[in-house]
Amino acid sequence: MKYFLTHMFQRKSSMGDRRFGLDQGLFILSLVILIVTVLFPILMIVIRTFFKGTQLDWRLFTQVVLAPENLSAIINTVRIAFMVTVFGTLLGLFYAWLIGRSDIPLKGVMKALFTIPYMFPPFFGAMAWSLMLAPRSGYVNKLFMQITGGTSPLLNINTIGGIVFVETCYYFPFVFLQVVSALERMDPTLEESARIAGAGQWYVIRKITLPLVLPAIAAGAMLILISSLSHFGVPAILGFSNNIFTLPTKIYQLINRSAGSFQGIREGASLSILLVVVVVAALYLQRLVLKTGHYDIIKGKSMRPMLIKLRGAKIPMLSISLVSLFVIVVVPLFMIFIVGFLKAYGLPLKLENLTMRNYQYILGQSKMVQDSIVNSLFLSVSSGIITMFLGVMIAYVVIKVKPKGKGFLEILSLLPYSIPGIVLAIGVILVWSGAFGVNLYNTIWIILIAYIARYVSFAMKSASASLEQVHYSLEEAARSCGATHLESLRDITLPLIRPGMVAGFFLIFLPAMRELTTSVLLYGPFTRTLGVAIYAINSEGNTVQASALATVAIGIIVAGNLALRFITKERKGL
Amino acid sequence: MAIVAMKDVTVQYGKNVVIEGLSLEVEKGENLAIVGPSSCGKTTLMRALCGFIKIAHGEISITDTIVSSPAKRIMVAPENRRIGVVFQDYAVWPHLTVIENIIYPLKKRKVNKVEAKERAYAALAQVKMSDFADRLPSQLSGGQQQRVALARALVSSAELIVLDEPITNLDATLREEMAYEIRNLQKTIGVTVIYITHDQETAMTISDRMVIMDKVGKIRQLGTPEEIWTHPTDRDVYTFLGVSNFLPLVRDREQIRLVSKTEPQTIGNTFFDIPKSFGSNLLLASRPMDIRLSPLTETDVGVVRGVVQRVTYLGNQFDYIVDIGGHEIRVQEDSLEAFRRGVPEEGSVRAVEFLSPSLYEADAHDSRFVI
Repeated sequence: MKYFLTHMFQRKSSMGDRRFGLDQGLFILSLVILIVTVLFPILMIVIRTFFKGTQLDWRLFTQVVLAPENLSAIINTVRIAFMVTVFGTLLGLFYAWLIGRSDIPLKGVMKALFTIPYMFPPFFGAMAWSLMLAPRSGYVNKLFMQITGGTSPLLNINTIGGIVFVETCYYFPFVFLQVVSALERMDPTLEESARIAGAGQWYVIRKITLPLVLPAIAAGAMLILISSLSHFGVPAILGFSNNIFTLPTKIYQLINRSAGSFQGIREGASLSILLVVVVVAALYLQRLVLKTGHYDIIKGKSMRPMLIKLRGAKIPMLSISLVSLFVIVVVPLFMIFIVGFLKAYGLPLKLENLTMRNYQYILGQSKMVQDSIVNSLFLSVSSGIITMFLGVMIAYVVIKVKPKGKGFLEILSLLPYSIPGIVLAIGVILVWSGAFGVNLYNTIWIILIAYIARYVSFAMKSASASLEQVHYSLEEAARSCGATHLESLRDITLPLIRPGMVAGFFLIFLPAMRELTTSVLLYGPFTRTLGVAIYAINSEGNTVQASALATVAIGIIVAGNLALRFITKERKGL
Repeated sequence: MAIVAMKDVTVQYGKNVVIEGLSLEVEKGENLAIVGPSSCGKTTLMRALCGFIKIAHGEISITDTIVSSPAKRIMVAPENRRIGVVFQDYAVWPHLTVIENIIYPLKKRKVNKVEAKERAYAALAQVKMSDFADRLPSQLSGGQQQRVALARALVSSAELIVLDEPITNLDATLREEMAYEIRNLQKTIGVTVIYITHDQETAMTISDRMVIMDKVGKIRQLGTPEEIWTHPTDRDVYTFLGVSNFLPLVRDREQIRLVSKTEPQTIGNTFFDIPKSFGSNLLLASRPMDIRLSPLTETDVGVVRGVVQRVTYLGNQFDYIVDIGGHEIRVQEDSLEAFRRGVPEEGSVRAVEFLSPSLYEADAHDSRFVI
């Protein structure tokens, strides 16, 4: 298709200057794909919300927004996101300071532990904490009730506090990583000269270090805020049973309850607009904050900073951080792993209660689970490949061709980055279920389209980074050696960015493999994905099987990450 | 016979005109250096010739075939122009070995494999890189990558090679060696070379003819290195070629006076044949090595006198700053010569003699040079 189109454009240019024809073709092709996959869904949401037929109609929107249950969802969403941002930022700052500026031992181990929440979807954490702290059946609560002899649980995870806790566990690395890298790049003499001038330790942290890393903190905090605002998995698993809804889960409920009816989708679309407005407001806030704090004192060079001696506080600090990391990162994974081997949920965690039956069932007997694994593999691999090539094409047009509409193309490709997955899913439903003569609803292709739209920003960013390394003279050298434009792309440019493309593929493959938010709205009877299957089995109450399947997913994700690490290492060696 | 002919070529990026109405012919088999200050449009000219950018106006032909002509709607693709190009940053493909780099143009020209291999190895031998055939470019030094790029260009076209600032990134000794080799290769193979550089010294050592371009992309002078060195067409070209001194003069009927802030001085007009068209304001241009300082004698009447301000010993030569009527000029003298004739002391007054000065009309850029 791609080649056919480019060929067509070559033919069209009569002057024989094929370079301009091919480049133009790539530009138009990129534009068309992005308009169809990204812009159409968003436009359709707006149109369906505000227009009835061709008539402008605000009533639905105001009616949906002002419905009390939706209002409470808005308040919950903002409340949760706000608290997650505050706690996540504080937690991230604490660890970042410990690792970046103190002489605490075992930094390597801790840094490795911080990458784990990045790898796994937060809804795994929600499942795991629910295994421990569900009000009646959670293992920790049961233990507590046994000890105290009472009937009141220690903690109830099915609350707003529980949702905030689990999301915080998964999102604090955003701030941690941003701040640690800023601390590493900061010129240590800035702090040292303050000390020499007679400032105390605490004063230096407050008046020098903190203001300098403020932009990094703001950037990380905004990432947490936006992620939490559009997050679906954790509130879905922890909130539904207690009637706690956020905007994304409310949208899901509306669509799900209406069983695909048009009115339900319209209401979902209205709520989506509200969610987008909230996210855009957050993004605007970010720009305001980042604008006020820009320092060039932070350099790209890494320098050895002055480490603050913890002295007597060293051992307590070390134990606090190790224990907290252990609880946040390792315990949930272990719970999922062990429960996956239990004969039945609720049995004591003893050796005689363990079995392989769950794995036999999900991998051997359940058609639904097998389908979901095949579907997810197919979707992740194909969306990985397609999106990566799409990203390369767009990045090529933006970086090398630089046509007039380049800015528009760039904005389009980066737009999905700030559009919540659940909103994108609704847009995709509106476009691809017959509105334009193509009905892909309930097929795997609608999920593929949604994945492509969702991950095109990743692909574009990763491809841009590697394309910028390829100087234009390398391609021109091939042209003057007798290669056509297409040949120079094939022989020179593509081979040079191949390592970047493989890494880019994995950056799409891995999140796609565990995707829940988008697929949960788009799946049909035979097109469940791995995330949807785990979620569905878990909400049916088959906790042990859900845990076993989650363990399988963890295995696939770990393998993928190892592959990615291996490839990026290879690349550095080149 | 001209191998490249550019007629009235204009190149612009958007509204920004980089080259305007440039005409130039390159003779077959010659080595033509295009010299000019950085960002004067040299590279743009090369890119227009190679077909990487469109020209807005005019016509370019290679061996009598029009390759670029907006008026005739002709724009031959770069791959069909058969020009070997050596890029400023070498542009040796990092994912291919040295020999694969050199075979690539032959593969694209559908040369059969055996012959292609033979020719590639021959080209590699020409640039003395035979031992490095199977290396990757990352294992080569800058100078070696340069040679690979040159071999690739030679294989790509035996007719016409364009080198864009090819040796500016090398250190001084390598640069000299490379310049010599390019000259040598061009003589033995007979390929036409267009050599683009901002370094007028290298250009002089290797080229048959030089084109001096100015900051706004116009050709100021075209000629052999000797012609250009001895007869720079105007003050700018004169300055561009090396350290220069300019002294303002005023013609007053038969006398030529130095414009002076102190006592008035006249300059003997015996060796000047000033064209009638020149105005009364003139500029005397001279190189530091072409000025001689001698002790004043009683009999000296009408010689130019200067005060030696500063004496610097540079090893092989002396460098003086001399004040002539309020104008500072630089004078250089061979050390041996200086010791023989006596090194002037700072503050002493000397007679200043200009050995082969050029005379320009002041306030006019395109004034002709005279002697």
